[in-house]
Amino acid sequence: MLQVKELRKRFGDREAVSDISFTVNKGECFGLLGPNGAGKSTTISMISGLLSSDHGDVEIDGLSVKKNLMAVKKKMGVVPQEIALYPTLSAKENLYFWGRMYGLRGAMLKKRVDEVLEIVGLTDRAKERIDQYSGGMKRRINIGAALLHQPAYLIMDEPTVGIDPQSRNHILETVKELNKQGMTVIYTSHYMEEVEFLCERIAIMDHGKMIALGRKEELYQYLVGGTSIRVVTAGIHENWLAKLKEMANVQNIVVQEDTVILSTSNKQELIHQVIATAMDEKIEIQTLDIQELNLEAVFLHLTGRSLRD
Amino acid sequence: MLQVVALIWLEIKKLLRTPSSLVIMFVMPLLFTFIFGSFFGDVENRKTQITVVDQDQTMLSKAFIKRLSQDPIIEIKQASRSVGEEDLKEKKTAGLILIPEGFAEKITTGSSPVIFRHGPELTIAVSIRQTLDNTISQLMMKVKAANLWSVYSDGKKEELLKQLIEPRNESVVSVQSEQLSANPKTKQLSQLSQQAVGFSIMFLMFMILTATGAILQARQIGVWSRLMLAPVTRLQILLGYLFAFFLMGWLQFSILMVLSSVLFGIEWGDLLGMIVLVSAVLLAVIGLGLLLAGIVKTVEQQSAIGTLVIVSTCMLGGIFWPLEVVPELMQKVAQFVPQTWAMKGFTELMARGGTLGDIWEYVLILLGFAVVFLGIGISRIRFEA
Ligand SMILES: Nc1ncnc2c1ncn2[C@@H]1O[C@H](COP(=O)(O)OP(=O)(O)O)[C@@H](O)[C@H]1O
Ligand SMILES: [Mg+2]
Repeated sequence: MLQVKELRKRFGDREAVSDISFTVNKGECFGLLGPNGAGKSTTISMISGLLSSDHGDVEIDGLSVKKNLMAVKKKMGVVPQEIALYPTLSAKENLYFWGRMYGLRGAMLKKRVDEVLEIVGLTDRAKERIDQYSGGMKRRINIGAALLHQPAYLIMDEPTVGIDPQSRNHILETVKELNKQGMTVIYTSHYMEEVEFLCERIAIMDHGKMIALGRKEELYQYLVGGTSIRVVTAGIHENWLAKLKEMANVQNIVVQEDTVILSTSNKQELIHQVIATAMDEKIEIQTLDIQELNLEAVFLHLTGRSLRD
Repeated sequence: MLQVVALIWLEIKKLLRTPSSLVIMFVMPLLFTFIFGSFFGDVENRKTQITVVDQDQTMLSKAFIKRLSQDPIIEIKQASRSVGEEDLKEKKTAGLILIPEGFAEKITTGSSPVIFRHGPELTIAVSIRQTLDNTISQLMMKVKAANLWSVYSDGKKEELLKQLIEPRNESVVSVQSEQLSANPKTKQLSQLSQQAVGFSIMFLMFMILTATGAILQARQIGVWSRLMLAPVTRLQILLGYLFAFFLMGWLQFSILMVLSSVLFGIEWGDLLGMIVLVSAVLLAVIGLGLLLAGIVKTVEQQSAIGTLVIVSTCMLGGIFWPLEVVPELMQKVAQFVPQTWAMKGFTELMARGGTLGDIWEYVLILLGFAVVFLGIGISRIRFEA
């Protein structure tokens, strides 16, 4: 069990993390969701002992990060947000090196490197230098390096940022499989689809604070049966926005350039009203879609902002 | 322990994998030694060729030539006057010494008995002239002695003179070498050795600069945080890096020592003294590299500032030329750069046949630099992410 207790971190006069607490049970996949700058990486850094917290502590299987750092480090495999590999060395050389840093050697080291290469699907290209790799392949080895010592806890900080869909799917499937085999996972992302796909329990962070925590179904209840409607237009007009804001069906409204996102509990009626007013105001609608019961909508409901701003 | 060895091996592998560092480590110092060592010539290793034309052909003139040929800085070649003058004109010979007929009479009367011609580029002309004067005055003394002796005894003048001028153990050379061994503290490195040592040290510094930059680079490429995540202590990481730098330094310096002795015939002197001296130099240089890494943010800054620091301190510290030729003020300032003490140590070992006992003061001073530099440098390594 991994317990995060009232973690707090301040950089200058900015509080990057304010009193974050949560518990991750053995064998589960826990999601930490939040937009860029929410304080996810700072939280992960404090959990993994990379950064000392101003307040609070983390306990892993009863061991405190502050007091038993070495023992805790051996239990954790951490995938940093940035690629952390030696670019002039091959994937295999990198894995051998990081394996040794975790105390593996000899036949065991070789076995684990081979297994990890198999898991991340790069056995054939293991001899190539990291700087010859595509972004997705780098990400996969970056994850592999954290798996070598078979950690009980796998902590991943945005492991899919900036890669092709194929590599992303591969990574998501890999994490799901590892979790199924019993590895406890903490998965950080600002992509709600990923967290939704992988995790049962989720914490949502914004501006250093935890704004929601619970099982997926519990979070959806924030929406009280609600829906969000996304309208992409060729150009928004003030008059139209004013009309939308006046509608009784609209619970929340977010405008991003030419896109309007509306929260509602009566989607059918609202769709008709949106289209009718748009025609009155001569607004050209390019796309209109309904986003039901997702974390994006939860976040929107809680903060009035979209996750990806 | 495993982790320390893994880190050492990794850093060395990365260095040797980069072609540009191999160029800096081995190609540049040897090339610079070759170019500058042969460009400036080498008084000790190469004799200047001088042509002698003997038109006198007497016992005395032959004795004169024989004595000249024992001089350590010139090589005598005999030729006829026409050939000799032709060679001088075409610069096939550096100078021409003409012994005209009547050499013997001129010696006794004290008027200048030989003619020495040379081009303006002959830098050692003064010392050759000196040798000529010395040799002539020695011969003159002997001719006078023989003349005088023959007056008071009935011995034949010719026989006496022959015995007197025969060069025996009292030759010019033996007098000079006695002087050298009597005062070895002034002996300097030969031109070639100076360049070999100097460029080896300078490019050792460049290599260590690149190597210590690895700590900054580790931060830039993100591996630093992964190192901090691994179950290794700060001490292990520090030891890994320090040993790696130390071994890289020795790898470079020992290979340079072997190659320069094979290629240029450089003699490095007492082995034990050399091991201790080079190790002390290395610690000071590693300290300097870490110090530089500690005061900047990026590898690029470290490399730019480091290059400036290395070149300027090398100039100050007598890496390119002996400190004896620079103004006194500069010599005083030079005491504050480690290279000065390194060069003193190398000169002691290589030119004066010194051993560990003769260089321990320099070694201590270098270790002092190392302690200060390493202390500051290590204290400035940021372990937190
Ligand atoms: N080392 C640091 N120094 C100063 N500010 C920082 C540092 N690291 C993060 N921050 C700030 O703390 C906030 C949270 O950052 P971070 O934890 O990286 O967010 P996330 O990972 O959710 O994108 C941001 O505003 C960021 O600018
Ligand atoms: Mg982050």
